[in-house]
Amino acid sequence: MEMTPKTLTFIARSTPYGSGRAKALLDMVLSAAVFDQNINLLFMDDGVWQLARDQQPGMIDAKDLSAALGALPLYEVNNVYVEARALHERGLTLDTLAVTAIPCDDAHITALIAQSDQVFAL
Amino acid sequence: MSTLHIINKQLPAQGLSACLRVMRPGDAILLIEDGVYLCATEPIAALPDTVHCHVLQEDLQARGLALPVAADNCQMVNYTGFVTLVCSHSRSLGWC
Amino acid sequence: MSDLLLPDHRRVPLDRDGYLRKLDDWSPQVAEQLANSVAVNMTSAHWEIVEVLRRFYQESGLSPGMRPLVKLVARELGAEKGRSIYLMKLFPGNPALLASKIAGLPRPTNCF
Repeated sequence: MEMTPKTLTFIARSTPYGSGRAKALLDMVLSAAVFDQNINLLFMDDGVWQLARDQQPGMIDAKDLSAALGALPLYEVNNVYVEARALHERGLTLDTLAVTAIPCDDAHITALIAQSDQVFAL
Repeated sequence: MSTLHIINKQLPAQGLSACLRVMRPGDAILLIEDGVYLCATEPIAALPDTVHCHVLQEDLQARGLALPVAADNCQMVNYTGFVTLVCSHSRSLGWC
Repeated sequence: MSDLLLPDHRRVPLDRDGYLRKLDDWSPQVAEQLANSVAVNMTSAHWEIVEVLRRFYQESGLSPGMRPLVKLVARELGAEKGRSIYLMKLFPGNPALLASKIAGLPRPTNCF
């Protein structure tokens, strides 16, 4: 079954361990990746906390979400973006993140959304 | 090319502001569920003219609210209108 | 599904798809037995895939489906082995499902 790949943009806006949302979004991303779609993953608002280094979720019996993010290239998810403003507001910087991400301003995010066939935010 | 931004919660600090920051002219907002409180508490009326705001009538009335009189670019829709909105935009984005 | 019965009569609980319920229950002996249950005869070629999978799971917490598995094996063991045909020969049918089962990992969730 041949289909034209769609551009799917996933917006991660939730903290990593406060709810199941971050994990649910990651599962959506990995599942979509299996279907050969063009995938953008954008971390926005509190979602940037998912990128913090040195997470030790074992302390609360949770799975390490940032470690899973490190495996995204294996799943051909190579377009990883982060909202620069959200980083700045939380005292995070690009060079202290657990994974490499492209910084975005509002206009860049607007364009990402406008170029997408589907957008999911969680 | 336009996006329908659906807001279903009162997200004072983040939800609406994140949505507004990345909207483009021609996009629309739809307030549903607890998102309808935003039209009572947030400066929906201060939205730029290029942004149309729709409020789901059922959710609004269920909560004892009404549209602010001053809000020119804000209108009520019913469930059929909801579907029409989704169909008339290229994509929907829920800021849940 | 019920338990995996080991030669020394110990029982290891499995989920309904035949995957280990507790990852800590894994041992080479358990792996042999799991391989048996899916008609795979373990050789050194099988073991190196299983080791790659276990290491990956420890790092990432993920059970890879077919495509990421191929890329992972290519990265860890070289392009010659990082091909679906090679993995299909070792784990006939569905390499991602079989290899992760033998490695004691959870069932890959995004693998159909």
